[in-house]
Amino acid sequence: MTGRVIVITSGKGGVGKTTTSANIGTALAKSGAKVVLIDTDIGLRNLDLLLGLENRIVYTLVDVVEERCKLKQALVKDKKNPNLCLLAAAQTRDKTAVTAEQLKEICEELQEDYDFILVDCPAGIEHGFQTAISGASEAIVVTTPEMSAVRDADRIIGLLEAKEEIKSYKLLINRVRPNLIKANDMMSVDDVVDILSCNLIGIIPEDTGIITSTNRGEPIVNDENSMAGKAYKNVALRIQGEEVPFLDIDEPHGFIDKIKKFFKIKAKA
Amino acid sequence: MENKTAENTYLIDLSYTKTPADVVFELSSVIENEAACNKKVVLNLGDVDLNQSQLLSIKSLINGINSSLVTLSSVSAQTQQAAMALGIVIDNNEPRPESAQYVPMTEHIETAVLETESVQEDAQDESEIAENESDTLTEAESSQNDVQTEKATEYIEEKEIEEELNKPVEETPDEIKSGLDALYDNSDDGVEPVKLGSIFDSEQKLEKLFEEQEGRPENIPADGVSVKIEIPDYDIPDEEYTEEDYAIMEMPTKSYKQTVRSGQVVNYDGNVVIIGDCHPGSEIIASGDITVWGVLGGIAHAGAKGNRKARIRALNLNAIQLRIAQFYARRPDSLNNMYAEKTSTFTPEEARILNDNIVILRLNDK
Repeated sequence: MTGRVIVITSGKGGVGKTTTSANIGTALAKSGAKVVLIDTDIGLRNLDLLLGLENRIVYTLVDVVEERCKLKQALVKDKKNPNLCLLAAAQTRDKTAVTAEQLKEICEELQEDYDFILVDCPAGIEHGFQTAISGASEAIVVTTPEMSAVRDADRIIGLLEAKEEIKSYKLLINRVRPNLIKANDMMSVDDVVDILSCNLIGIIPEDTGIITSTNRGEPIVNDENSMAGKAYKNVALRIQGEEVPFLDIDEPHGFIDKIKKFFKIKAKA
Repeated sequence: MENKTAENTYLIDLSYTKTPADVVFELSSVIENEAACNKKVVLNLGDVDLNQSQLLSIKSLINGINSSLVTLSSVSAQTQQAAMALGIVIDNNEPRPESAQYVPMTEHIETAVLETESVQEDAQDESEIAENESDTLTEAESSQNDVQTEKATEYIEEKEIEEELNKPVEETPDEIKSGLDALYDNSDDGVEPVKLGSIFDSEQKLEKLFEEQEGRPENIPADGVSVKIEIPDYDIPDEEYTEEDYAIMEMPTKSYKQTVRSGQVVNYDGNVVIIGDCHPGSEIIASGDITVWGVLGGIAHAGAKGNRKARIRALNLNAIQLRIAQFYARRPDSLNNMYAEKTSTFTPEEARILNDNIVILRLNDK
C-alpha cells in the first residue's frame, strides 16, 4: 500500500489550515481510510488541541527525528476513531528541529501502513514550509475570500508549482459568507478561482460552530447539523475521487424562506 | 516598661517592642526620666531586628543624657551583630522564655520526652515501693504523691526541652547540615534572575539525563498507566522514609519567580520550586520534587532520573500530564477544557506514586 501524502498549506496565518487538517482527517478516517495527521508547526502546535488529544502526547515528531522513540510509539490514536492517528509537533522546540529530509523519510515510512498522510503546514514560506511540503505529492491550498489571503495563496501556488514532487494542488476557500458576497462586500468564490486560476476542491461557509468545536477539542465534521461539517465531508469525498457537487451555501433567498428565517430567529430569541 | 535601678546601672526593658520605631519611641520617653541620667545603661531589646546605624542612633540618644550603653541583651542575630560591631557587650542572661528559638531537630525533643517517661516510671516505682513499705499511707496521700511525682516529671520534661532549645546551633546533625549547605550553595545561582531562554542551552543536559536512565524512550509506556485518582490526604498511611526520600531531601533546590509560559522548559537536576503559574504547553523536569506556588497547567516530570519517591505539588494541580519516574498520568478527558481555570480558591494537591499508580492527594482536607 502506498498512501497519499497531502500537505495543507496557505502562506497566510489564521485562514484555517489546522481546522481543515483536523476535519478532513477525521472525515477520511470516518469513511474507513487509515489516516495520519502530522503537525509540522513545531513550537506553535494546535492540531492536538483541535482533536482533543493534548493530554495523550508523550512523544512528538522531534522525538522521532532525534531517535528517542520509534515512529509507532509517537502516533497518538484518536479517542473515537481508531483509524485516525496524530503525530504531534514538539511545543518546546522550533522549526529547525526537523529537516526536509527527515520529514520525507517519516512520510515514506508512514505511506506503507496508511492511506492518507495529511501534513499540517505552518504559516509562512520559510524553513517550516519547505520542510512540510518535502514529503508531499499533493497539496491543498487554503485561502479565504480576502485580498491578503488570496495574494499569499498565489505566492504559495507559485512555490508549489516550482516543486517537482508536488503533482497536483487544489484550492479550498474557507470562511465564505454568502450574505457579504451578495452585498458586494466580499470577493465571490468565482473571483478567487479566477484570480488564482486553480482547481477548486471545496467551499467552506463561515460557521460559528467552528469556535466551539475548537474549544471543545472535537472536529466539526462530527456534528451532523453543521454546514461547515458537511462541506468538509464533501471535501474528503472529493479527495477520495468521488464527484460531489458543491454545497449550496447561499442564505435562503425566496420570500417564504425569508419569512421562515425570520421566525426561526424569533423562536430562538 | 520596667526600669530597674541597680547601683550604677539602669536597666531599660524594651523586650515587648516589636519594631525599631517602637524602640526609639519608648526609649525617648524613658530618657526623660532623670533616674536614667549618668548611668550605665543595660538595654533589653527582645527580638527586634536593628541594624548598625539604628543601634548607633540609639547609643547616641543615650549618650545625650550623659549615660552610656554598655550592655545589651537581644535574641535577634542581626541586632547582636550590630552591637558587636559597635563594641557593645551582649548579655543574654535572661532570655525571654516565650521568644521563638531555633529548634535544631524535632527528634531531640522526642528523645527528651522519652527520657522523662522513663523517669516517670521510676518515680512511680518509688511511690509504689513507698506504699508497700508503709501500708499506713492512705489512698489520698498516695494519690497526692502521684500528683507530686507527675509535677516533678513535668518539670524535668520542661527543663530538658529548654536545654535542648538552648543548645547552640552548631550541634545540628551533620546530615541536615550538609543538606542545608548544599541549599545555600545553590541559592547563589537562584539569586540571579534566570531567564528561561537560557535553559534551552541546558537541553543537552536533559537529553543526557534521559540517556543515563535510558528513561524517556522506553520506560514511559506509550499508553497511559495511571489516571488521576483523588484521595484525601489523611486516607494515606504514612510511609517510612527510604533512601530515595533522603536523596530528594539532599538534592539542591532551584526556584523561579515567574510565569512559565507555553514552550518554555524548566529543567534542573534537583528540586524545582516555581513561584507563579505554569501554563499549558510548558514543561518542568526535575530529578527531585516539583513545587508550584500557583496553577500547574503544563507537563511536570518529577524524579526524572528514576526516583519514585519524588512528588509534584501545586496550589492548583491541573496538569495536562504528570510524570513521576517512569510513570505517567494524563488529565481525564472530561477535564480537558482549554480555558485556564483562574479561581480565587485553591485546593493544594500533591501527586505521588502509590502502589505503582500516580495518585493525587488533597492537602487541605483536615
